[in-house]
Amino acid sequence: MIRSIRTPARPLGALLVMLCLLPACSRLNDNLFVLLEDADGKTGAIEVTNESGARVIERSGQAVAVRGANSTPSDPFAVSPDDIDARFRDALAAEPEKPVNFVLYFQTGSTDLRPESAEQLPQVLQVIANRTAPIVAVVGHTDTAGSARVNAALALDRAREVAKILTGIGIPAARIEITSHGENNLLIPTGDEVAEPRNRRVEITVR
Amino acid sequence: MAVRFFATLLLAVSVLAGTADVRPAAAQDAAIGHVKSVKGGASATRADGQVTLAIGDPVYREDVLETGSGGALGVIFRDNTILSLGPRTTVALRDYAFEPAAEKISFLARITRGTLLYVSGVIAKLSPSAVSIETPVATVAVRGTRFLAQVKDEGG
Repeated sequence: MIRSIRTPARPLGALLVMLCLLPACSRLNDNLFVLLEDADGKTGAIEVTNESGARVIERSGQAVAVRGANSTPSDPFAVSPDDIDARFRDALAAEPEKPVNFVLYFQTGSTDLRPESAEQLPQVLQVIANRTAPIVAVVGHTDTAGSARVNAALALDRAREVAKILTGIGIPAARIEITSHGENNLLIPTGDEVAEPRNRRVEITVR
Repeated sequence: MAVRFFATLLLAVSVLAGTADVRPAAAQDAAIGHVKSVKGGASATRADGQVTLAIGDPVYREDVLETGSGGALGVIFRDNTILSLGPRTTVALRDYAFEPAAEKISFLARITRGTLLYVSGVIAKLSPSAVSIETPVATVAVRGTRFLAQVKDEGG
């Protein structure tokens, strides 16, 4: 098995060495970190750190190369889309479809969904139907009014209500994950002890 | 409208019926993510041995994910973080916690060879410092983002 790989690898290796006399090329064959644009068009940042130093990349299409654990990370440099494709085509092609998120609200003091939230259920089903091996995460959230402990329990009750609705319309319970984030994952950022109706919600994420 | 809803419902039920496998509840609870795409061979090594991965399979904390030559693997985690691996790649899921209500949040993975795409999820949004992607030569910290890593074989 090793023989069959080694024989054609030699001329290919020699060819790569010849092609890689340019400094940019050799960096591309080092350990490499490349920042990409997010799906929403924004670009975040990464910081590449080892014992010899740290570099921050803040622009998409830029990379930092690191020769070894004891070498300082290179300054950021631009990588062409072709070079990204040549090295990362398979990893990029294996990227799963992006999860789809729905935000549902209840009528005040009730476990009934608000009409505009109930109207989203057919869409939820449609998205689930179009996914391979779908997982449906149902996560309850509250605002920051009241104690964190009570809110965690309240958010779990709301998530269970929505899960009940989903199993009622045909989603197998085995596909549903029920979780509570209590008051610790706000849609609208606020301080503590702030009543904010938009934070009292259940989010359904179809993965 | 009602007719369309019913048709959608039937579609959903028929699709799900085919894939609704029966898994023990405890294992389902402990899954930190699921396999969403596989090409060629991909496996997970865990305490009780090595398993071949297929679409829909759960992955667990401390799994070591591995692809063969020509292989690729895409995983979505419970917080929507995505990792996808190119061929001849090894990634250890060293730590994972996504329990915001208990203020326990962590994403720590280590790639020791191959190519990796990381796409941030809710963990990076709630607490960027809770995310770390390690390699043998450097560690990557993220600020809500998407990036690629290539790691040469150790000693290669």
